[in-house]
Amino acid sequence: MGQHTVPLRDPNTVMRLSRLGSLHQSRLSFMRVLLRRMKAETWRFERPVFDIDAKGVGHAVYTAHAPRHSYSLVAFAHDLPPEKRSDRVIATAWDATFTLFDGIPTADDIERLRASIPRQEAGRVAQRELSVSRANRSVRLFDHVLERLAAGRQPDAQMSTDVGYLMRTTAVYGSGKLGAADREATSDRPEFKAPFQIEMLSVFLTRAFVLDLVEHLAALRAPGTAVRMDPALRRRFGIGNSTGLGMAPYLINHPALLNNWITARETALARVRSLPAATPDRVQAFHRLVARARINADLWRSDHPAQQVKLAALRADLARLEAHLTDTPLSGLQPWNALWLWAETTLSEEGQEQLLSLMIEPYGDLVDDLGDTLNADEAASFAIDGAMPVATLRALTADLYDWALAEDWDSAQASARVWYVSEEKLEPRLGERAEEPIEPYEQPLCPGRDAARLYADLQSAPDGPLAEFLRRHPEHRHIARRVQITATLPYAEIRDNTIAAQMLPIDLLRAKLACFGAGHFDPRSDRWVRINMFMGAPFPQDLADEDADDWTLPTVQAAS
Amino acid sequence: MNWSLNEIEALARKAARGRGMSWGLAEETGRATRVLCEWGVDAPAALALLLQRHDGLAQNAVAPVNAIGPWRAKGGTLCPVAAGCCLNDFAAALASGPIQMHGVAQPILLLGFAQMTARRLGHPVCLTIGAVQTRADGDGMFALGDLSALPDISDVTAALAKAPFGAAMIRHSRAEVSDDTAAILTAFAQRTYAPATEASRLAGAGAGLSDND
Repeated sequence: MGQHTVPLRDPNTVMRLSRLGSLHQSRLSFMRVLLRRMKAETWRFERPVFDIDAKGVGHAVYTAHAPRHSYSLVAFAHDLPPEKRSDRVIATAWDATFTLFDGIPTADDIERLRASIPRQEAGRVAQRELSVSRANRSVRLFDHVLERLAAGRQPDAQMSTDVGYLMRTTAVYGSGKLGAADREATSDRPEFKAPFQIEMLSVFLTRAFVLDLVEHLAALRAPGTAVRMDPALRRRFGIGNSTGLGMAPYLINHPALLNNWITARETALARVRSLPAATPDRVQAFHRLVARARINADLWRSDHPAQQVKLAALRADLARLEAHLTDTPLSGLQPWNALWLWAETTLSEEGQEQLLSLMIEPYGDLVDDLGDTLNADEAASFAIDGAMPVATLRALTADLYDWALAEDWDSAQASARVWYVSEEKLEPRLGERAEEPIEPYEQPLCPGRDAARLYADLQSAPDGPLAEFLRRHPEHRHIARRVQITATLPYAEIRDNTIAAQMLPIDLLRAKLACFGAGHFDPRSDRWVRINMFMGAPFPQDLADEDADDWTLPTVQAAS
Repeated sequence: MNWSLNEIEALARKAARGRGMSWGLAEETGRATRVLCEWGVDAPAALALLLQRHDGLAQNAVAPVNAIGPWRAKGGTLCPVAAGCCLNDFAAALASGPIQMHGVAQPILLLGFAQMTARRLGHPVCLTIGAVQTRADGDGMFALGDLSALPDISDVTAALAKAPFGAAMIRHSRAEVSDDTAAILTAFAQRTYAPATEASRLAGAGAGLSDND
C-alpha cells in the first residue's frame, strides 16, 4: 500500500449509536487532560481541614493550588440511614456532599456551604461555587474495608477489585446549575479551557477524601490496631458513578462540543495511522498496553446481558489482536494503518474502539496537543445563516441526513419513543409514544425525524433565502440550525434514530462518559449505567512523583 | 434572586416553549435573554410580560406577516423573538436600508438579537426604539436614552450604525431576577413538563435494579 495521509473516518460510520456506545477512554479523555496539566504545572495539594467524628459526620477541605488559582473541595460527611440511600435523582439525602469552591474558603464560607450543600438541589449556591455533587457508599465494600483496617488487616483484594470503589457519585453539577458559577465565568483560565475540568477535579479530590475517610474512621474505631491501606491496593479504588437519563440528552444538545470531542479522537487515530513506520519503543509500548487491556477486560464486570455480549466480544477481540501481532509484526509501510484496516474487517465495534485508544496511547507527543481542541464556542455555531438558499439547505439535508430520510417515521417502531421531562423531578425521561399521553411534551431530541419533516417541506418550498422559509416555518428552526451546524462540523450529529423502539440510552451515556475518561461501564438497565473514575490513578500527593498517564489500564501484577 | 446565566437561559427557553413557541424560537429566546442579562438588562422581566401578553395566541398571529416593507403582525403586537429571528435571518437586507417594525411588544428583547446580527454582519447594528437608541457592535452594547423607561409596545427601526454613539453598557456575569418574574417564567416552563404517573416514574427513568448495594 502506498504512503499517504490517512483521512478521518466517515461520520456515517463513527456517529452511529452502537459505535458511540462502544467508545473507550483515551489520552484525550478529560480526566487525562486534567492529570497531565496538574503534573506539568506541578500543582500543590493540601488538606487544611479534616474534622470528622466516629459516626462519620463532619467536614473536610482539600485544596489544589494551580499556578494562578486555588480550588478547594469542601466535603460534608453525613450519617445516612440505609433506607434513605438511593442513587436515583429523587434521593434527598446522601452519605457525603461536596462543592468545588473557587479559592480557599473562610470559616464563614464553610458555614454558608453547610446550610446549602448537604441539601443539593434543594439548596442554592453562588458564584464562588464551581460545582455541587454528592456520593453514596458502596455499603458492602465500605463496611468490609473499615472492619478490616480497624482490625489491622488489609481488605480482600478480590472484593475490592470487583467493586472498585468505596463511594459512587450520583450527580456532579457544574456550569451554573443550582446557582453555581457559569462555565463562562472561569473558561478563560487555562486549567478550565478543556471541557468538564471542574467536574473532573472535583471527582479527583473526592476520591482522595473517600480513601482518607475510611482510614480515618478505622483509626477512630480501633486506635490500637487500625492500619492504613496498602498503597498499591489503595490505588485500585476509583470513584464510582451512577448515571441515568439526565445525562443522555447532553450530546444531542451540544452538537459543536460533540463534534470537537469526536474530531479530536479521529484526528489522533488518523495521525497514528498515517505514520510511515513504527519505531521499536512504540511497538513495545503498544504490546504491553494490549496485554494490560486484556487484563482490564477480564476484570471488567457487568451483569447486563447486552454488556456481557460486548465484553465477550472485546475479550475475544483482544486475544485475536495479540495473535495477529505475533503473526504480523508492525513493520512495513504505514504499519498502524495496516493494523487498523485489518481490525475494521475483523473486530467488533467494541474491539475497534478499544484499539483506537490503545494505538494513540504510545503517541502522546503526536496527539496530546489535540486536548486543546476539545472545547467549543457554541454561541458561534448557534446563529442561523438566513441567506443560504433553500436549495442549498435541501441538498445538505439530503446528503447529511440520508440515513434519516431512508427511515419510515410513520412506523410504530421508528417513532416508538418520546423524550420528555417529568413534572416531578424535572429530569429527562423516555416514554412510549403509543402507551402514554406524553407526545405534547416531546423534547427536541430526535433530529432524524425532524430532518425528514424539514426535508418534506423544503421539497415544496419556493426558491429563495432560508430566511423566508423559516419566517413561514418557525417549527423547522431547530433542525435547520442543526443541519447548518452539521454541514461545517461533520461529527456534530448522531446519525441514528434516537427514538427507535430498540434504541439504548446507555449508548449515549457511555459515549459521554468515555470522553470523560471513565471505565468499567456496567449498565444496570437500558437507561442507567455505573462506571468507575480515576481507578488506578495517582492520588494528589503522589502526582509529582508518578506518571500522569500510565494508570488507566491495570498493570500485569494487578491481575494476580 | 441572583441567577447564573445558564440557569436564566434554560428557564427562558422552557418558558418560551411553554407559551407555545417552536423549539427553535425558544432556543433563540433563551440565547437573547442570556445576552441581555450579560449587559445588565432585565430581560427576564420583559420576557415574562411578553409571554403573558401573547399567551393563547398562535405564533403566526404575532410573527411578521411580510418580509418586504415594514414588518407587522397579523393582529395585535409583533413578537420580538419572531422579529429578532427575522432580523438575524434577513440581516443582509440591512445593507440596502433600515428595517421598520410596527408595534413590537417588549421591544427591549430585540436588542439581544441585534447583538447577534451585528456579529453575523461584522458591522454594528443600531435600533431606534421610541426615544431610545441602542447600538450593538458584536462585542459591546451602547445606549442613548433610558433603557429602563422603554414602553411596553413601540415601533422599532433597525439599521446599520454609521458612527459610534451612546454610553457603554456594563457587562455582568450574573442575572438579578425578581421573585415575581421567576414565578411567571417558571409557571410557563411548567407547561413543558409531563405530569408524572406511577408507570412513568418506574419505567421512564429505568429503575428497577437495586441501587443500594
